[in-house]
Amino acid sequence: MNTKYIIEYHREAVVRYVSHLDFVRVMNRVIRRAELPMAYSEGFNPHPLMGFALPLSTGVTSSCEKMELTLKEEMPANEFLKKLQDNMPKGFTVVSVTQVPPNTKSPIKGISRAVYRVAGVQEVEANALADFMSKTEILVDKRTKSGIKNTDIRQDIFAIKQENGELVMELSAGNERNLKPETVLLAMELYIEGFSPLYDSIHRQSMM
Amino acid sequence: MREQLLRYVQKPTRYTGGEWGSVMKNKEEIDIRFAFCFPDTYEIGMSYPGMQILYFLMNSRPDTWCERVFAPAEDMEALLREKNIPLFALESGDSVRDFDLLGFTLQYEMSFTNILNMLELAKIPLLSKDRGEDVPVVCAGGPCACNPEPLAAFIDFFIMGEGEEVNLEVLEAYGAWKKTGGTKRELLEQLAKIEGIYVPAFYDVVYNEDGTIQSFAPNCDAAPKRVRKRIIKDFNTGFTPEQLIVPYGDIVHDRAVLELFRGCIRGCRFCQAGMLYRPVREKTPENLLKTAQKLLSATGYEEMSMSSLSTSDYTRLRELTDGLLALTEPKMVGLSLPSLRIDNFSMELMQRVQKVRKSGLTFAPEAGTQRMRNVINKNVTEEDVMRSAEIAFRGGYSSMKLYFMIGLPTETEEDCRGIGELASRVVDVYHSIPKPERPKGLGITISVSSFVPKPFTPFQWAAQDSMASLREKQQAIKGSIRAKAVRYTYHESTVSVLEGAFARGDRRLGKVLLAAHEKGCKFDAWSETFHPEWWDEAFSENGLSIDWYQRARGLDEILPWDFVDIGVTKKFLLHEYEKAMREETTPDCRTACAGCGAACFGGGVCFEH
Repeated sequence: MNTKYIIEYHREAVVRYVSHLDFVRVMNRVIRRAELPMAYSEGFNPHPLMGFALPLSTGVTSSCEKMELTLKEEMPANEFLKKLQDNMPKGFTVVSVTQVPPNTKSPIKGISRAVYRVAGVQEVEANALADFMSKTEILVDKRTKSGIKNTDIRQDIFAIKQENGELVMELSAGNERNLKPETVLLAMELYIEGFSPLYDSIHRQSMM
Repeated sequence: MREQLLRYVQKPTRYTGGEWGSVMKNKEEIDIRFAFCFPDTYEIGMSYPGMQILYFLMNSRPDTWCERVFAPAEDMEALLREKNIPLFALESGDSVRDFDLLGFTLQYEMSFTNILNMLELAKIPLLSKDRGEDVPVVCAGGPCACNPEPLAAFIDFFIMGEGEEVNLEVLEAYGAWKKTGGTKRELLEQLAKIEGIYVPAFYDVVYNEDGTIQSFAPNCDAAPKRVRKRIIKDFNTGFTPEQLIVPYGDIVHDRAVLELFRGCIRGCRFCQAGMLYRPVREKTPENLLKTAQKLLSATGYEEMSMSSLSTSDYTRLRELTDGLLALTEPKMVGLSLPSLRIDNFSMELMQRVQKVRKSGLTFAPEAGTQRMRNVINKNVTEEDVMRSAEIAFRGGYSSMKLYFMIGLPTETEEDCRGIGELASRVVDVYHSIPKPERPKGLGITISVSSFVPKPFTPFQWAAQDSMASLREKQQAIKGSIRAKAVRYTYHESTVSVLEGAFARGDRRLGKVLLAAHEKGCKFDAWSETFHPEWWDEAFSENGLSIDWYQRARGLDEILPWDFVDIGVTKKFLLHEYEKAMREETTPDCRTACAGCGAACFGGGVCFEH
């Protein structure tokens, strides 16, 4: 019987430039190397049943990635985890495999927020940050499907704080609304005097 | 160092390394660091199976770490120059300048400027003579090394022929030399004693006033008079990697490749590979199936292809394909077929393999008339073409691509018109089949390229056609096409003249290459980066003319590559050239031995009986 599993994994710095599309290809090959009893889609061109919580931008590391794989038969979670890990390129680390009980909502669905840590940014004065967050409207050029548009991103920023020299941002994430940390940095440059949008790295810490 | 660049370039995984199958080693435990340099982009280089073979071969030595280096794309090159960061290897990210050995693979002449550009980006002096004791040793191998002379000034030593054995001997000699702390000169003298190694500095060339060669001779005792290419005599059991590097990004050929045999029995007179890789040596289906199984489970590839010069000539093809399909079908792995000779067997095979779309059939008669095909020894008759076409149409294929060459020796306007006429007769074959038995929507594409004479072929003495003559011939072909269903494509190639010049070039072209590089020439094989005007300047500034390199060679001339012994003798090539002029054909190696000379290696097809 088809059984769903949620795989939690990290994407470390060495593989942060592997795009989401490339990662889908990686997973197709991991599945073949590990000889997993995958369930395949119906149709003329069957593909393994595989789903992702939220594609990760190229260049961003993460410690909260989730994907769903469907197997034709049950497999002990620890065996599944080992098979996956043994066949993943270095830098993708599987941290847990959990069987999804039948008829429950998939944990990869309905993601609406994510927390990012931006390292190597300029420190901002507490007042300036509070001032930024108190705006009712934050307009910035944002890349959308129909080109670059001047967009109000205020409602997509839930929180920004400074922690150990990093900027921690809680932002909209998902199919409906999505905001990238880079866009927030550009907005901060516009609204906070003297702020530079340069950074070293971005890390996705959690999704909810 | 590279970390700070990756964010700003397209397709960063071209530069990150770390792919599945790539080899990481601990630098502390390594004596020899080898940079395998492919003078083109990652996508091209990673599609080339030879690189993977040598990569895993060299990395099988515990004292050696072989890493990969590709020509950076324009954006990365600009960053490297701007930030003054030297070219780095993919695995370690370390500067290539700090390696022991650099090895360039020479797959096509139009990549030569990229070699110079990569050396420059690595901050390594371009000229061999300017590289001191603290600079890596630079070598090169691959098919274009069969005439290494245009690169003689830049490369310390060349490896002739197949690399699977000789590369290990080179590493062995290098390792021993490094321990003694000798000079580069001492190393090169050691290497020159290995069969297949050519050290250009150990030879002097004297030219006649007309630019032809007066003498070519070794200037030191270590250097042999002639350098014989290396082959893997027992190809069946020779080194075959059982894993591959699986790239992250999309590359040109992203699949597992199975090499069925090396060489070709056919003896087409224009084909360099057909002579260079003689004698033909096959792997057994048993071995190939074992390799296929291992490659698939090690890589996870969803596609596998067979590669060889003329796959239909594999003696046990049915047995092999049956075995492969039994392996690939349950795993849902696609088997992609190379262009096979179209007969009932291949049609049946294509029907069994889903990956082949019912549109893409190709056929290479190469010339339009029987006379011309006899000259080039393409042993395909008009009847063969028509029979194949009928089989294909009846098998449900509605379109066909026909490949031809123009600019061939002895070619007349009639031969060119023959191309269009041949296509018309293929159309007639289609219409002769009753409607219910043929597919709809006939489309015939004629694809024409220009012939480039290459060393070690019977046409090595032939003149290369001028652009003006080629243009006239194209018009003749165009005029000969009557049927509406026939489409004609021609690859206009000023670049082929340059390719011809370097293929048959001498040492004097080194200056031209250097000048072209200084003007900014690189990626010459790509039309958008090709600058013929810079090349024209590079030739004229050095007192050389590209036309001179297009000329017919005298049969008694010393050719720049005469010192290389590929097994196939000059006498045989000359005999074949004369037969070509008489429009006589030569049967393939299995039908009758033509006595080409390749039997000197003591293996392969020459000893099948």
